[in-house]
Order: sequence, then C-alpha cells, then structure tokens
Amino acid sequence: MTTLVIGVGHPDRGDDAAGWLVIDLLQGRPDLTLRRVTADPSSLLTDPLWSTAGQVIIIDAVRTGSEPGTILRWTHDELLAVAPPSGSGTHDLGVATSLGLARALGRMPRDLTLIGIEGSHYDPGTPPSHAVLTAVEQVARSLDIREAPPAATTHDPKGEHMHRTEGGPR
Amino acid sequence: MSHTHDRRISVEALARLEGEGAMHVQVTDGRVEHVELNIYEPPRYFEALLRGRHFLEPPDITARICGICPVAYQLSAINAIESLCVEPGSGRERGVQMPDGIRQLRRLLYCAEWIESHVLHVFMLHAPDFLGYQGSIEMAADHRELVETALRMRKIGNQLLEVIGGRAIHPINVRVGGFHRAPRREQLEALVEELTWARDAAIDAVRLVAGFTFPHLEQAHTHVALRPEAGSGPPGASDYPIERGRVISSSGLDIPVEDWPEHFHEEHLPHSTALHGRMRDGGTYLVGPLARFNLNADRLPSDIAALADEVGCTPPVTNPYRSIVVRAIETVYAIDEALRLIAAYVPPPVSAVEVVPVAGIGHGATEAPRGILYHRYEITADGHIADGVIVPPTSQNQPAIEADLLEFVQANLDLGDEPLQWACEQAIRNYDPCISCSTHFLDLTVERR
Repeated sequence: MTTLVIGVGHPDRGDDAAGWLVIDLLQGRPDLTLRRVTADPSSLLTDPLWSTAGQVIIIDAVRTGSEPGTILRWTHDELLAVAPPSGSGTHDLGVATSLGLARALGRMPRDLTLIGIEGSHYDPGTPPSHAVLTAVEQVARSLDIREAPPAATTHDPKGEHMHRTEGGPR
Repeated sequence: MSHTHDRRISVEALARLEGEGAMHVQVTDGRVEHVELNIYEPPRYFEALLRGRHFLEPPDITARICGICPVAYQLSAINAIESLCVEPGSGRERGVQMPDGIRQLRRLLYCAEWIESHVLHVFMLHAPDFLGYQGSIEMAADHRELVETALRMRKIGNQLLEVIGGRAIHPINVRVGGFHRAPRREQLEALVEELTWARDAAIDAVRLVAGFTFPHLEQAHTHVALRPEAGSGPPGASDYPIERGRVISSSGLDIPVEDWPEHFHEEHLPHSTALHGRMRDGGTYLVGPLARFNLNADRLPSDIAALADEVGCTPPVTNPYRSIVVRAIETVYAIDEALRLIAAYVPPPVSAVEVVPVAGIGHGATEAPRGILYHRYEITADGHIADGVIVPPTSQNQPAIEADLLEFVQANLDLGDEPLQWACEQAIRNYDPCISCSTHFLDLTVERR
C-alpha cells in the first residue's frame, strides 16, 4: 500500500515549518512517498498518487487555541462531513479550500488524514518553537497510528473553518 | 447596521498567517477621507538575511519568499547579480555572454510560472467573483468542467516547472550562470501535446471571461512595465516582456533597469510596516498585467492580438476588473511562447557558464505574474552581498490600490458593511496582491459616532 505524506508550510516562518520538518524526519522510509508544498496544495489534486495511494496524510501547522505543540487529527470521514467555506484570497488556495475542491470534484483520497500541529508564532526568520519541534518528532514517530477521538468545531490558522479532532500530544 | 454619514471601517486581515495585512477606511460626513491598506511583506526579512551571503546564494534564498512566484525572485536576482559578473578570460569588464539554450530555458521556466499563477488567479480566485460564487468550491458544484480545466492547466505548468526547475515549489535547479542541469530536448517535447491542449483551453477561457459583467471603474494610473528590445530574445522567443527589458511607462519614461533608483523609491508610511512604492515625482503607479498589456500589446503575436481584439480587449485597458481578461490573454501567450521555445530549444553546450563577480551594484528586473519585481545587490570584491534591495510588485501597487479603493468605497457607501467588505475584497483581488489565502482576507467592522 502506498502512503503519500504531504508536508505543508514554509521553512522560514517559525512554527509554519512543522509540516516540512516532519517530512525531513521521514526521509529514507521506503514505505512512504513524500511531498512538500507551500501554502497551496491544490496542485496535488492532479497528482496520480492523490487518487491512487492507499492512504494520504497531510501535515500542517494549525492555530486552534490549543496549547502549542498539541497534535490534532482529522480523519477521512470527518473531512468528508465538513463543509469548509470557500477560501478566495488573492494569491493562493489553502489546505481547507483544496480539500473542499477535492470533495466537490469527487477527488477525495480513499483514506485521508490531516494532522495539525498547534503553532505559536509564524514570523519570518524565526526558528520553530521547542513545543512544535517536540510535536514534529512525535508525529514522525507515530505516523502509522490512527485514532478518531470526538470532533469539536474551531478555527484553523489559515483563516478557513474546519472541524477538528483534538487528540492532544501523543 | 446603518450607513449614515460617519463611520469608521476597520478591515482586519484574516490572512493565511496572522498579521499579513489590514485595511482601514475612514468615512466622515459621507465622504471617504482615506484608505489605508497594510500588507505584510516578507521581502524585508529576506533583504536582511542576504547581507553577508555569497553572491551565488540569492537565487535559492529569494525563491523562498513566495510559493507562487519563486521563479520571478530567482531570475530578478540572477539578472542583478550577473550584471556584475564576467566569464574568466572573456576580456569584458562586465556582463556574461549567456548561451541561447540557457536563455531559452530561463524564459521557458518563467512561462511555466505565468501559466501556474495566472490560471490559479483567473479560474480559482477571480472567476468566482464574476460568476456570483463565494469561492472556487461553490463554483465547482456548478462549473465542474471549468475547475477541472484549471487543475489540468496548472498541472502542465507544474510539470514544466519540475522539468526545468527540478521541482515546482522553490525550484532548485536554477543558479547564477545557468542551471545545475539542463533538461534534454525530449523531456520538453514530452510536454508539447498537453501544452497544445492547454493553449486551446486558454483561448476558450479568454472568450469566457471577456463575457463577464464588469463593474464600472476607470482609473488613470501611470502604468509601468518592462519592454524588451525587439529581437533581443533567444531563438524561438517573441518580445512580450517577461525576463528582460527596459523600464517604460505610460508617461513617457524609458530607462535601463540600472536607472531604477533615480526614478522610483519606496517610503515608509505611519500606518503600515510595509514600504510603498512611488515615482520620484511623488506619483503613484501601477505594475502588472494591465500595465504590461497596455504598454506592450503590439508585441503579442498576431493571432493572440487578434484574439484580444475579437473580445474587445484593446489598449488602454483602464478598468481594473478587466484585468481578468488580460490575465487570460497572457495565459494564452505564456503557453504559446512555451511551445515556441520548446520547438526552438537547443540544449546549451554547458548547463552553466562559469562566472566571477566584480565589485559594484547590480540591478535586475523581470515581470513577475503580478508585475515588475526589481532586485538590487551590492557585491564586494570577495563576492559577498553587502546590501540587497527587493521591490515586489505588491508594494509598488499599494498606493494605486488605495486610490482605487477610496474611489470605490465612496461610490458604494450605500452598501451595507458586509456587501461592502465583499466588494472591497473583489476590488483588491483585481491586482492579485501577495496576500495569502483566507476565507475572507478582509474582516470588516464598523464603529459609529
């Protein structure tokens, strides 16, 4: 089974590097196909693996009001049920809009997990926080763990609303 | 919510990352007194980061400024740096004789970025405004084919970026002197069939968007764009401005890029942490598709010029809402140009020319999808960056956007706050500024006295 892991974020903007850092730690794992994207994952919708991989995992920094370093997971079923409002910025599409498009077009992967790492700062040129670095290691170590704790509604850092499942650091 | 004479509209950003922008409108006695648009600018941080770095590093470092237009940052940096370089033993004091194949690849790489960026903006970000949808997701329900077409067109742009740049996000194959590795001819030829499809799809898109209903708004900004000398491109290239050219304006300016500081400057305004571009005479100006098209429409190939004429898009285009039509025409051009360059591509004898720096100040400018991107570097005799200046299109357009918004809000004061917020977002979107994604990138509140 092919597992596609997508790290979203920016390497030079504090905790926004979380997704990329997880990908760094996963390098060399033969069971995973790794991708990095900055801000706009919609281009992945035409990646053949998006539709054919046994599992797709997206990792991104989030801001939900949880403690920095908290690891949050949205399962495939939750992502299918949620209707994020359209993001129509001026420059790119975000994660939620890309997933909304995938759903509208019937292009959701068979098995999709979104892992969010709660960040605390996103200033250019700043390093990731200690809490996020710890969470990054945890996510990389426990990538194959799948659980679906109860969902709650909150707000994500990209200005797009999504439901979240708060699993806490694990 | 009433719309009486005094109201203060505070438009805070809910951008992708906190603090990327805000907009404030002050209305007193039914008159819009001022509009302040504050957009966060990453280049300021990168300018500081570049100081002390080796002269070969800016293309890789500045590519990280923007996930949508990294090639623009790379090639503006390269233009500036190579203006201060020589090939050892060439006998020249400055300047590099770049092989045609490298020049072709650079323009081709830039075409890929235009395709990606313009298709994203025309189809996914801007079209929903005119078709009456909140965004691309809602539009996809009724116009699935349109969104599928956009995704397929973006994919070919991505593939072109990957073949030449090594990867689509922050390309790694670009370097001062050329490329780390030049693609084989057959790698590019493999993309021709899909590019040919994309060209037809883009032509259809021009006809579609030209039929939209455009709000009335005519602006008389000074337009500034690059303009290459005719026939100065590599084999296969035409002369619409992308990666080279002199700086010209609708008010008669015609200067080499190195004269930029004498005519343009950036200033700090109290309401904003971002720098605002102005001409030295204090005037605002506009860069981007409208400026490029209005100043260079005669450089379009005849069939694309005929297409523009067919849909009623002839210079000067002064309604910023019609920028979607110009972007669609430029998408056709970028695809068309890519096909020409691939047909004429001759792999360079070496993937990169060996260059050494000469101490001095170098200037470079290219046409990013959203307008002129200017770089200036001071390089020391031992090849390090003593100072760097990066002037992105968004900061140049900011004063003109504010002027447009002032007029726009004044004309639409009868709207409730929510519709006005939505309308302001649409007006700002005309300029494709570098504000990252959000549900609503403007969050409007009203304070009354």
